[in-house]
Amino acid sequence: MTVLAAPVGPADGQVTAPSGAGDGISTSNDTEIGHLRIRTWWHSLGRPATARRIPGTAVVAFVALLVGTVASAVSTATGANLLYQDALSHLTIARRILDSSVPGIEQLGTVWLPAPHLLLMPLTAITWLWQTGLAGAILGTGCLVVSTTCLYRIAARVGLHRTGRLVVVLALLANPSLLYTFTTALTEPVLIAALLSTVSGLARWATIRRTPSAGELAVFAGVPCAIAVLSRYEGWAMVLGGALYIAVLALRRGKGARYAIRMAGAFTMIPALAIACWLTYNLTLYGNPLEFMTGSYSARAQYDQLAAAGLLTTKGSIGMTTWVFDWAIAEVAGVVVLVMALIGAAAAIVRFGVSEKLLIIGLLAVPYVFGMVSLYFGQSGIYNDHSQPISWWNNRFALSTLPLLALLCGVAIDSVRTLMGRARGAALLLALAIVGQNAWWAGDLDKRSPILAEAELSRVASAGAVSAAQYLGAHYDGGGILLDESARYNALLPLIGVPVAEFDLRADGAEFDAALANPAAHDRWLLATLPDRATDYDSGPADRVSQMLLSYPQYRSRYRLVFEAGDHAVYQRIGDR
Amino acid sequence: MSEQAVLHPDDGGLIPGVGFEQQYFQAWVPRTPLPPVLPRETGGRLIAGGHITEEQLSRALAASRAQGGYVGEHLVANGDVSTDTLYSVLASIWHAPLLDLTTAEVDAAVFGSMRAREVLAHGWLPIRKDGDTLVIATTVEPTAALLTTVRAVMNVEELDIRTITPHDYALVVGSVFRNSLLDDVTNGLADAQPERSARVSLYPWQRMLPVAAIALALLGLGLAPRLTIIVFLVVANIALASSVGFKLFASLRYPIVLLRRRGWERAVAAEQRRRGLEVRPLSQVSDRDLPIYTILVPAFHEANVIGKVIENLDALDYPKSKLDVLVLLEEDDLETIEAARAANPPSYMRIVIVPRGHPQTKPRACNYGLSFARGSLVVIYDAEDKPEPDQLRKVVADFQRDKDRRTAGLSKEPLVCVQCALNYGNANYNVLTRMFAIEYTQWFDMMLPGLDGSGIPIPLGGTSNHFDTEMLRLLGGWDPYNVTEDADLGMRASALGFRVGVNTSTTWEEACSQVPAWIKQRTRWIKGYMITAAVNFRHPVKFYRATGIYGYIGLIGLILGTPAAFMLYPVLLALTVITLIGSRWIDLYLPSWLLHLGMANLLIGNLATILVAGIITAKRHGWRIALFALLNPFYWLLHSIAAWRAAWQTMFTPHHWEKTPHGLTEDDADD
Repeated sequence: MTVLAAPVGPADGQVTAPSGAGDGISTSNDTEIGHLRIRTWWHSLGRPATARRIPGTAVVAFVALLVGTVASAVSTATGANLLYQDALSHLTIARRILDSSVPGIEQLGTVWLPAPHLLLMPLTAITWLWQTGLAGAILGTGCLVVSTTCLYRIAARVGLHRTGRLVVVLALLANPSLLYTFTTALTEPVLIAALLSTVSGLARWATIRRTPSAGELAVFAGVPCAIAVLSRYEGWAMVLGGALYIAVLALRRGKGARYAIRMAGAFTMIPALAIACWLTYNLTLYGNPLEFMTGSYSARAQYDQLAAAGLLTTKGSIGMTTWVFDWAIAEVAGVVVLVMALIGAAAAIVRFGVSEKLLIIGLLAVPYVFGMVSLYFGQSGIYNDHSQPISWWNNRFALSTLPLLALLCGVAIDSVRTLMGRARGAALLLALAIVGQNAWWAGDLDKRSPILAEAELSRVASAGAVSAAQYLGAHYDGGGILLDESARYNALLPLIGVPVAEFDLRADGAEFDAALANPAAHDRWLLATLPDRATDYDSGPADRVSQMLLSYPQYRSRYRLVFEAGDHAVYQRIGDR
Repeated sequence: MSEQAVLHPDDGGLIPGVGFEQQYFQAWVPRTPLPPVLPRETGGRLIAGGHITEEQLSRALAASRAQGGYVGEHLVANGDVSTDTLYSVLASIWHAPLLDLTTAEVDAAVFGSMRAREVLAHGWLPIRKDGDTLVIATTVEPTAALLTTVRAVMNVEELDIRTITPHDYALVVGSVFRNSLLDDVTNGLADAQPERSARVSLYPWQRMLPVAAIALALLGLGLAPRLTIIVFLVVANIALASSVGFKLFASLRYPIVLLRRRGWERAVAAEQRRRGLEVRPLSQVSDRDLPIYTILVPAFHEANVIGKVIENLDALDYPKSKLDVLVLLEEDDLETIEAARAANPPSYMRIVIVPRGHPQTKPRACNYGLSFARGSLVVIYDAEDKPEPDQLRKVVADFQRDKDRRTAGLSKEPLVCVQCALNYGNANYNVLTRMFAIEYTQWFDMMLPGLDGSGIPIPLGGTSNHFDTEMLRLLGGWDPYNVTEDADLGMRASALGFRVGVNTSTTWEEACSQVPAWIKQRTRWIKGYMITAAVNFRHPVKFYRATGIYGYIGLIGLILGTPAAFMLYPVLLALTVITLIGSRWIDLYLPSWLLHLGMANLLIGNLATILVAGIITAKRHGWRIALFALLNPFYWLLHSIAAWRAAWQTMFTPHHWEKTPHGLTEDDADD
């Protein structure tokens, strides 16, 4: 039995092989080498992150993959991943690019930014992934892996020791609202992954020993930021935040204005190109580069409608905005994480002062600032149990602030280590508190988590629509389907499961109009809101098929009602066209 | 051209299987190989003089027995004794006082009509005449036979023998023959076969071609714009698809080549076992059988890296006594010369000062170095190159195998050169170095090995091309007027009936890490490709006859296709974008098949190349660098800038050499 070299400290991380290695060593020796390697790796997790590689990244990625896979399995098996109407819409848009009566890039439309759909596209091309929503869960799990590893790396970059880094991972991965959202096809997973990748790239730029080149900054921060820019408008705010961060850091380091501009330019170049592409797309297809902002399907049009109806109480009120948004954050993140994050924020200010570390943390606050501004100016809306009116709507917007809170939890625990030399006890207490918080959530998840509460609300409200979709899916025998998929609770295509090319959809433009003008000549089946119950007071445009049936009874007479559930009905043409 | 021998088919100096073309080819062809620079055993005298120990002598004797060569050579190679000391001892043995060049008078007139190569082949040289007595200096033992030869050659009776060190010997030859050597290395090829030289880069009709093409395009746009654009798009798409397709074909052929090679090796091993022989890897050649290997290291304004040359070449696993390293420095580059001398190079390394001249290019320096090469194999390395330690041995085995195959009638064309793989040690430095590494990995790890044995000419890379020295001389050396003398030489070798082989042993280089420097370097390379294509297309029918269809494929697919693809890429991209977004405003109806063809070409070409490059890079550098293959379409835009610059320079400054600075990568690389 040979004697092993003494275990190395966290500073060097070298494994010294035993002298007998390689010449018939015993199994126990192998075991000791294994233990030694694990110990060395464990020590390396606390090493300052000034190199390109950060120990532990692969393990964190694996854990996130495991957690994401379990969450996806649960969510998909129960159908919970398909409860959000928006999730169904995203799946459908992604599918339509390849499977539609008029396939093509124009199917991306202009309501939503295109990146999530483009990323979903190869997955939704496989029918069963599209129908079951697994396409969204797979993409979401990938995003969870990216988000978690990037946040872990950011924690390392701001100088958190091992325990602090692991607490950050725990605070993120133990959040049920986040896990649920990352099993759906909503845009948050892509947005959060892209934002965290951007911040990780920016933190890397500031902290590695050798100053990275402009090209590396463009690739490691600019490219993910471009994805964020093409996912949600929080990404646009990150472009400004990132450029400011680079400029401030460069000037503080005495590199001069020219260097600051060059580096900020390298970072913004690719996101700016992405924005230019998006404007060009709008210009080419709609003749207006700002169609996404000013068009009739834009979010602003929807929120203007709500504001006009007096249903957007956060608009113009800083008090209501803060109240509603902060409650959304508190309910999404949980009180335990929120309190610990507030402690962490105070600790960060005291420990780091105005430094690059605080600036990195500040970058994660960009989504919070953006959320506040957009709510205040009426560019978005959130309903929860502290809003007027009370309902559950869009609380998932608060999710993009969760990484900041998780990081601050890590800072808090790391500060305990700095003060007391050890932080395992504090970390354990926090872990227990998080478990307690989750247990409380689990008691009535559908009401206590605002994101799941909205899903539940949607499940109840769309029950009729879903039944109609399932009926149509089971009975469809060809002949085409006319459906206004943009209308409220009508994003049903994955649930119907029929190839999109069989449909005449509003997104098809002229073809849809032609079908509306003479439905019987085009489609054998109609799926619509019952004409007497169609409303257009809130989110989403009115059901134009339903309006058509109401306005032109002669068309209605060509169809017979074959199924009715809740507000929705399925019609079948009588005879041939 | 006074020093060039005219090679005649009856000379017997030709290699079997060499094409008809070279039968009338002029080059520096020595009739006898250069002698070894060190004479016979002198161990005893050195011990007696207290210059070496018994142990050092024993070590040198053992090395001499194992590797061949003289004991003196091993003593010098081991650093046990300096060349000066060795030769002063030899001088006393030979009773020939050591010549001191600082005081000795050398009379160039006594050389008469002798030529530099002839003198270098002798190992001795005349110094001056003192009355009827001719003073000669020798690096080899002045035996009676040698003195008889001297008397016959110089037509004198009385001789005064001196000893001269190889270093001083080369210095005298370089000084006396300065002008003729310069003329040789600069104009040798251009004078002997002007049609194969880029001294005149473009013939008048070639110069008119782009002008005519532009005029025709403008005329077309004026008369029938739609038709002109359609024709242009069709031609451009075909050109782009051909170039990308060629590279993909070559890359995807590699696995087949690899399987065949492994099959061959297994068959040989099986046969060795069947015959009860020791099963040895084919790449194994015993030390004794290893030839003297000349390594040319041209350097210009590279004082910062010259120390690394010593370090990198010292790591080669090759008997130092059989290494002949020539560091080629330009006469006016005083800083590098000083740095090289200060670095105190080992005995097997010689610093050769290349006289001032025009064009001041790397091939000119290499030609000059080739004049002094002692090895039967010669290789070029750049100053910062780090070849894998066993590279020379592997190449020796390749040449040995080629000889065996030709003897067995399995191959006709003699192997003139083995191109080893190049790759970048600083791949992870920044985005540009990653992209460069991906490009080189695909080129040298997949594409060139895929072309090996296909009959398609292989353009040589800038360094790590290992030549059979005599065949290289036969080819005329490098063309100093071509800015990519390496690619040109590959094509010329093919046209003259030689073969270029590929070995995946790697030389690690430093990738250019700054975009402006990269663009300049790439401009030079692409310009060289353009000029090489122009040179070979001067007589297309002749070239076809010499190389056959495969030569044509190589010339078009690689040499012409590469710059053409890079020039067309942004044009096609721009037209695609205009077509996509401009349809609202521009009334340009293009047939849908053409649009689909263009899109498919761009998409499939890009995706396939990304995939192939990514896979092979993942194998070589890992996935972290392989992922950057996704940025290839942007990297190609940089190529396009360089290609358009190159086109401009080809027309107006074809011989301008934009030098690549080395040592741009900071040493404190991360991780």
